[in-house]
Amino acid sequence: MLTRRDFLRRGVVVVSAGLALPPIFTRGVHAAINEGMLSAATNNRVLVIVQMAGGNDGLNMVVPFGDSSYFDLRRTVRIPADQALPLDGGTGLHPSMGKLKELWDGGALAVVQGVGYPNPNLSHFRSMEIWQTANLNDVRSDGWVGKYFDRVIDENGHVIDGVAVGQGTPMALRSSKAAVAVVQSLETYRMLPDPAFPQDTDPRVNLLLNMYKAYPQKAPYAALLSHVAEGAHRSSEALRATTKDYKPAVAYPTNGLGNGFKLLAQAINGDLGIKVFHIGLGGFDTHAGELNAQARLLQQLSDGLHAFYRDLEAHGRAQDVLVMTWSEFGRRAQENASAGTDHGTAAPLFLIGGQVQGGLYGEAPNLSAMDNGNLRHTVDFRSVYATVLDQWLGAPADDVLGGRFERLPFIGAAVGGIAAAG
Amino acid sequence: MGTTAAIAGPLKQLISRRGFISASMLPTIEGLKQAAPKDGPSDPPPNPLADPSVRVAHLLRRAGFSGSKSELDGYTALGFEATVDYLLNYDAVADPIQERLDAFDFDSDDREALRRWWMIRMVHSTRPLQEKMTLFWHGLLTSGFSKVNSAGLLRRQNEFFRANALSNFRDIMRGISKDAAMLIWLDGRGSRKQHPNENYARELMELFTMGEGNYTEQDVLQAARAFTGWRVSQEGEVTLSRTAFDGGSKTFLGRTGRFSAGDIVDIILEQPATAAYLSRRLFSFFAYRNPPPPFVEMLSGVYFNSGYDIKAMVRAILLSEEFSSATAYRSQVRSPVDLAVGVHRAWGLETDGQYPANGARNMGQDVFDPPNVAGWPGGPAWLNSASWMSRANFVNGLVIRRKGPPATVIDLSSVVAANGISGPKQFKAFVTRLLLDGNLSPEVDALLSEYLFGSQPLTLEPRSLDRKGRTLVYLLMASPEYQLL
Repeated sequence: MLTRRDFLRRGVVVVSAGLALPPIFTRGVHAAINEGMLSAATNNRVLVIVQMAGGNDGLNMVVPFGDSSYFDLRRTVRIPADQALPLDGGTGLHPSMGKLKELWDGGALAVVQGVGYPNPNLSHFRSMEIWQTANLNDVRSDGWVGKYFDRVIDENGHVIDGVAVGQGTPMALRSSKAAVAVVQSLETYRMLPDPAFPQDTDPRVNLLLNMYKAYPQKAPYAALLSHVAEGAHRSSEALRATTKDYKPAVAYPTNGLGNGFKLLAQAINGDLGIKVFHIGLGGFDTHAGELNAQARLLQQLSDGLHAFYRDLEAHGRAQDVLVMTWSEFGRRAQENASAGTDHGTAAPLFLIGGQVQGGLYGEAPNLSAMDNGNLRHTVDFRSVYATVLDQWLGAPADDVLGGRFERLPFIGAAVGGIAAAG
Repeated sequence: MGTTAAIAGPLKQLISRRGFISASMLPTIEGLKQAAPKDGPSDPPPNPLADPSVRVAHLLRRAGFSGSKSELDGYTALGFEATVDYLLNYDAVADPIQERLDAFDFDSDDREALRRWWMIRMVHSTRPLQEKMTLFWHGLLTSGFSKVNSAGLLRRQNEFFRANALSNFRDIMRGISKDAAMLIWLDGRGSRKQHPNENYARELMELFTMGEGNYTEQDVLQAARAFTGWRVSQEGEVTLSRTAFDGGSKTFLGRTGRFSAGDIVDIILEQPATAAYLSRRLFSFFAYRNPPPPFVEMLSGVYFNSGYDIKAMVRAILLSEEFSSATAYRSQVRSPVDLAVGVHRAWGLETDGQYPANGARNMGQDVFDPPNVAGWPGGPAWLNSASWMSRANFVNGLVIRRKGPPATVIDLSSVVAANGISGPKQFKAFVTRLLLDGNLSPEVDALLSEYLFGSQPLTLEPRSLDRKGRTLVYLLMASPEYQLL
């Protein structure tokens, strides 16, 4: 049987020989379907995870303007009722999210309110671990997406299972088996040659990769080093091959997030068999001067998501994509004296896509019944994950998450999932 | 080649200061050589660090940023323990770095210039451990341009770390608690007693001193009250406002009093959790991750017995059996700064700071701009597809000819001439020793030998050095072994 490692080795030869790419890249998915692990309806479906790092102030993103307690708690760090973009009679989006409101009006945006978990942890890092591992206890657990990769992407897998835009591999995608490409821009994502000897370009790279394969398995970091080197070379060849066939249909915002979304649209259009994408925006840790800082960030997010969605629509791919946002926690209901807010707990998150059933889900936390000044969550974040896993990706959600969590009806055409194994 | 002078100067100083040896005797020192470390119970034989020259190279990588050929030879002759002393007692070493920095017209508020300024220091300093500790503090007690938005204040913070690199943890923690850049980074600036800002109080305990799980949310709230009142003027002057400071009684970690910011720091420093946390952080930085618990206990003892003396702790680590054990050898993923600076130091390259600063940024470590308040996670997190490619491309840029001033790229013909390299086999041995202790796995070594000495074998002619010699140097610096420290 061909192991993933063998496959990757052969793949190096295939790619450098310039053979056609697509059959190789989609083969993992086909194999998984044939083995009944993955529902055929999910074949083209991808998940895009958008991290809002630092702890986003959910109360000012989805504003409970119908609740007078909100205005009591927020004397200065507040969104006036007449500025919120209304989603219903008492709830509205932050005024800088006009583009996202358009998607709401088109029925492509679901807002889940009050998302959190029991015994909330107010440390950025511990709470990020909890969100990314979906494990409230074990610090060393694999990422929740990594666990999904391990279960449904077969050993002969793709060249790339996941792509993260940015500097590092997000913990959510961490697994010992999956190949996750981390890309900042496609322009720089390539191995540079010695220009004095162009004829040596391929042999030189191959010799280097052979050194990584020859590196003894028992030596320090052997698995990581060989995995990273092979994955880097092969994913760069694969991703760069998509450049030829893709032209953005919209003008993306000219910032890091906009460029990142454009890269994702290109990779999705390239049909590389990549199931999960991760992209992030930082700076939400607004302990001081929150109003301006958060407005700027939410506008970037809203404009970026809107451009991405419209571009996918124009390429006929909006039905295949589900976007999910998350942040490690919301912020304290009561503002502090630096015109900011400190670390808090539950917050809303967004789901966007052509098959999303738009609307409000969950329940906004009660501002009059808090826990030591912190919002009580009404929806466990693992319910959102469970829904995404089995109703969108057709994955064994209960197995991945290690337990059964209530599903939310935000997917319009749920695939029904595969029954939890056993 | 300025490297020989650079090492000879400080060594001479040390030698005359210590008075036990004359500079002319350097190449023939025997008596100072350190005996090979005993293998610990968990050490699988053989330990590459049993070789005195490898052990010194390991020390220079960890307590500095790798060594040049002359540094490796000179310190090996001096011996391991004397080299530890020399690195630790850097106050006695002249550091002519200011002349280099004066030559640059850095605008004090230019972010690019600030990164270059520090890179020049790391590449050219005669006090590598002082710069390495400055990097340690920048990673632990971090602040970043993304929020501080002032190169001047970040430079001041960096100078504070440098001045206190091996000083007392109390001075460091009291100082950083009222450092202008830190007050901006963690929102101490403008925090008032009416609604104290919790940011600094929380991260002080979680990330800087004790670690999560050693305090309660109530302790965060109480400490936050003691950190109220700080103001930072436009010019970066830090003052305490009596009216904004909460001088009332606080109960913190089981003690009650009208605590000030300094009192809170002092209480934190007395905690065993702080001793253990700092011990683990220092040991992980110099030796390897997950230090053995008995060692943490021993190092915590050093922390308390020395009155929080960082130099005593670092000395205990560098001289420990663990530091020179097989477990420690190549146990760390080489950080981007270690790679960018280390390549320059190993080859004795000149730099205006730009190439290493941009390189480290592309590899995932943009100095003065950490990813978040916890600094860089480091370890395996340094390696992913993008950062690995940036590493290969960074070293590529130093071996292919780039436009630029002389001595900023690796010139193999000069290296061959300067070191009296007599043939292609000697050339391979020289670069393998310089970069990788001469220690390659047989499998990797066989691949390289086949490439070098198979068809069209390497010669020392310029054309062959350009083609195969350069490729060898590229491959070694992009190799799996070189990504480790």
